[in-house]
Amino acid sequence: MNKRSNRHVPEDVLERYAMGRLSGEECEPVEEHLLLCAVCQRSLEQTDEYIRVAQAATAIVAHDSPNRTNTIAIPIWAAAAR
Amino acid sequence: MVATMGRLGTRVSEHLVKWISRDSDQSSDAAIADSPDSVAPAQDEPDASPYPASAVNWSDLVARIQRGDDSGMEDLYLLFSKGIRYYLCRQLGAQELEDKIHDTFLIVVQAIRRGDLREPDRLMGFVRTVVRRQVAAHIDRVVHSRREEMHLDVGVRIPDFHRNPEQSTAFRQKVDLMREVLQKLSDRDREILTRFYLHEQCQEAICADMNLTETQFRLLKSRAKARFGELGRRKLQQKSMGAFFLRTSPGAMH
Repeated sequence: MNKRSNRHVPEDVLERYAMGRLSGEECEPVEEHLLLCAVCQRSLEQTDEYIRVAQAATAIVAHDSPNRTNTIAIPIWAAAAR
Repeated sequence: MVATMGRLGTRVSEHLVKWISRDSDQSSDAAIADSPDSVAPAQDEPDASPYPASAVNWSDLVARIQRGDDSGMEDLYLLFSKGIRYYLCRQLGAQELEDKIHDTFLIVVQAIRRGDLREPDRLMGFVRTVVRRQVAAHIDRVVHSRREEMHLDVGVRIPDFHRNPEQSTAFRQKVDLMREVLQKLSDRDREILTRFYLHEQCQEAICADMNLTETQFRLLKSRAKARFGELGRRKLQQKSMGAFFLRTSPGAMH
């Protein structure tokens, strides 16, 4: 069970995975890798958190922006972060 | 391989053997129902994965599990327990996690022993299939029970990412930093990120609408992330936040 040099999942692929934007075919190798790779598990945790932060922040900024053309309702989870 | 497992392996083995023997006498309907009857067909080569994670002799591992060798179960547990725990926790939250992990291993071991895993090299895919079915089955059960008991506020349990006040505060601080990053961007760059993260538009659509190349799009996202990491490191020296920002810094990425 020797570990050989891992080929980690690239950051942009992890981000698309976290956002549910990978096809089933693309998901398969990512999820199999995640079952075994602690490094990518940690990266995905960070990616998940970054996405949540970015979603909340963009929602708030879009809502507060005086130039906005559309009314953007702030989701509850973003409002909670205000 | 077992030698490298050491004390941990023995402890895990005892634990897992107890698990398996606890349920082996029962003809577990759930286990049979959830067991993948056929694993996804083997790809041309098991190592054809774009993200190989480890070099394991899958045939040997499967053979040991099939003949009831405890070392096989130890190795299976050591290889997959963390990943299975992580996957289940990410999808379903921490509630009843140990039971779910137990059920997953039980299904995998029973299926291997029955010979359902036709291609040992597809063990990773097999485990993934079992875990995904566990998640789907759990969600089905929760939805079903909600339908049956509408008077109770059961609902699908979405993992609670900000369970305590400290975590909520840390999250708010991160959001404030990200707002600062966003406010320093041009309207156009901010719109791109808003479309991507908030409105969840796909990269291709954003690039087409805003006349961007894929590289420009990627650069914008990575610069915003890097700026966020820099601000975090500069402004927040608290331990909990520090760890987060160190890990999100560009240098920590692979």
